[in-house]
Amino acid sequence: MAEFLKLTDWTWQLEALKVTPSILAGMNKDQELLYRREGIKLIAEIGAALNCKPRPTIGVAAVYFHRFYMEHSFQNFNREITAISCLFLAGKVEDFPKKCKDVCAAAQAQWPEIYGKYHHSLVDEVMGAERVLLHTLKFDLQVGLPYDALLEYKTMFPDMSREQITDAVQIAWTFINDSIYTTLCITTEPQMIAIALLHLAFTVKGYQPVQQNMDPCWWSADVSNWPQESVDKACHLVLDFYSATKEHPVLESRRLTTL
Amino acid sequence: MSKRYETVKHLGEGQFANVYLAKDLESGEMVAIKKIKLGSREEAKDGINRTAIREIKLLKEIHHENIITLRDVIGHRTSIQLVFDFMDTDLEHVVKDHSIILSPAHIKNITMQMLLGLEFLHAHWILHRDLKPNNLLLNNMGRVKLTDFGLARFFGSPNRNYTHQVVTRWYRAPELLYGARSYGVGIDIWSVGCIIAELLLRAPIFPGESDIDQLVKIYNVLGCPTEESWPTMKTLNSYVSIKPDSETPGLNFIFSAAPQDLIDLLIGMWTFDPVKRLTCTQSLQMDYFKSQPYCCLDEELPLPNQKPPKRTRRLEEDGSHPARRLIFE
Repeated sequence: MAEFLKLTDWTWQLEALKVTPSILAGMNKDQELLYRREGIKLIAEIGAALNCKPRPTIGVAAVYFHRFYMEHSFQNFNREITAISCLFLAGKVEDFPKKCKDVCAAAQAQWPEIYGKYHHSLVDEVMGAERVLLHTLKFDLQVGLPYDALLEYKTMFPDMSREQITDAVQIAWTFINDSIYTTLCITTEPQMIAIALLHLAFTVKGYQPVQQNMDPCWWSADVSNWPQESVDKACHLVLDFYSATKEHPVLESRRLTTL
Repeated sequence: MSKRYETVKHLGEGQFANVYLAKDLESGEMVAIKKIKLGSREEAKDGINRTAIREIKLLKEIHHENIITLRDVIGHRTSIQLVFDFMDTDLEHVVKDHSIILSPAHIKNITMQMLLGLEFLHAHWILHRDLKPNNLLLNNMGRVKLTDFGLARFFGSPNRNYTHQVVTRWYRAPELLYGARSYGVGIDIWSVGCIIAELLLRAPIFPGESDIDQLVKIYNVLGCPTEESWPTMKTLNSYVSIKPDSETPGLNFIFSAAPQDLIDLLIGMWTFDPVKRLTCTQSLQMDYFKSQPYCCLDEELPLPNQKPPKRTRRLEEDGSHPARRLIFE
């Protein structure tokens, strides 16, 4: 992955999404985004079957998954195995460990069309993938999620009514849950995601947060040079996901798409 | 081992890992490599060991001069290796080496370094949960570093219950012995108190032989907690009422040579009610650190001098820098 497009160790400029390993290996951009959504769908559904919550296990697993495919291509590493290994590792890291064989059994029960073909070899496949994953992640296992920042913002609007702010935070929470299907986490820091999606929640509900100190935007005190248009871009990424999946929900056919 | 590191010798074996002395061929420095055991075939079915995961996750986040530095992680097809600074010895060896004399200034220095490292951990919402002399490393620059984060974890999530089977028994706080499942920084501070006592006495102060005996050993020194001194005591899972031997001798009697400000520090660290127990920051502000004798310089801390001759010979054969020349940031 092009080093010069990196903003931090694990965030990239938007341009980086045009030259991912998968695209360099011949995939087109929309196809890649679809592949990412399918992988995340597997993480979310298998995770839910194992009683994992979006915060933190599923959220962390999704971040691992997106980071992984900034370093490797979908052509070389199939997403159904990567998805399980991300979930398996995130469980261990977040202290909600699940046995590898239980994760695999849940996967095969939920998605027989996808995982049935592996039979008993699935556990070994996942364990092998875990090692590649750990390497790829450079053992940076601790991942921040936007939820914590969101909860901090809950107390920062003294002029809004309790109902309004609770309502907005709840909607933003759902947006964050769904944002894992997008590439937001590899271009945007968790706190900025929280800001953007809370802004989106305000907009959706028509709430006008009162601005203190004449700042141009309510988040200026925290992220001073983040222009409105970048915030809008982040919001649109999530809205695009909703419109892309409205007609065709992810994995509607219960099978992975192929090139 | 990876090509970058050349194994010099096996240093020791723990429950989850083997530790080797190795040479970093890129920097010429000596390092300690902890090679995580894969465990039995059955355990290996769950991939990389959770203890290793915890340690890697925490140490990648924290950087402090009194906490061991994780320099590198090497993932192999069959094993995981953690590369740490090489440290010459640990406080257990120091305590047991009777040729070493620990002066009040030495002990004050060690106590301060321990507390600074622990204060940093607690400020980052991490509990160590296994402090003991063996887990406090010392190098020949006199730097003390906390190590072994295999049991450490983030705290502060109110809904989570933790296991009480943490901390080697002799250093375990009374709330853990009573089976408390939600606990905080107090458990680490209790252990620090026990370690200071051990530096003074050159033997463990509460060497309990069972969990009950552990409480008896504690109460024989400190007296029994009362409803008043520890109101929530009876609500703990495995609370039992214990009668101590007889009159307690008092800390001034046990530590007859210790100044009152040190006794006050120990009393604060061994407060029964975890809520009232000193925190690291409070401990560092105690009179003990403001009175003479002040801390000695780090490099004045004594080291066990009977080094295994084999290690010295091996280093010289290599023509490498002796470990003495290790540079710390």
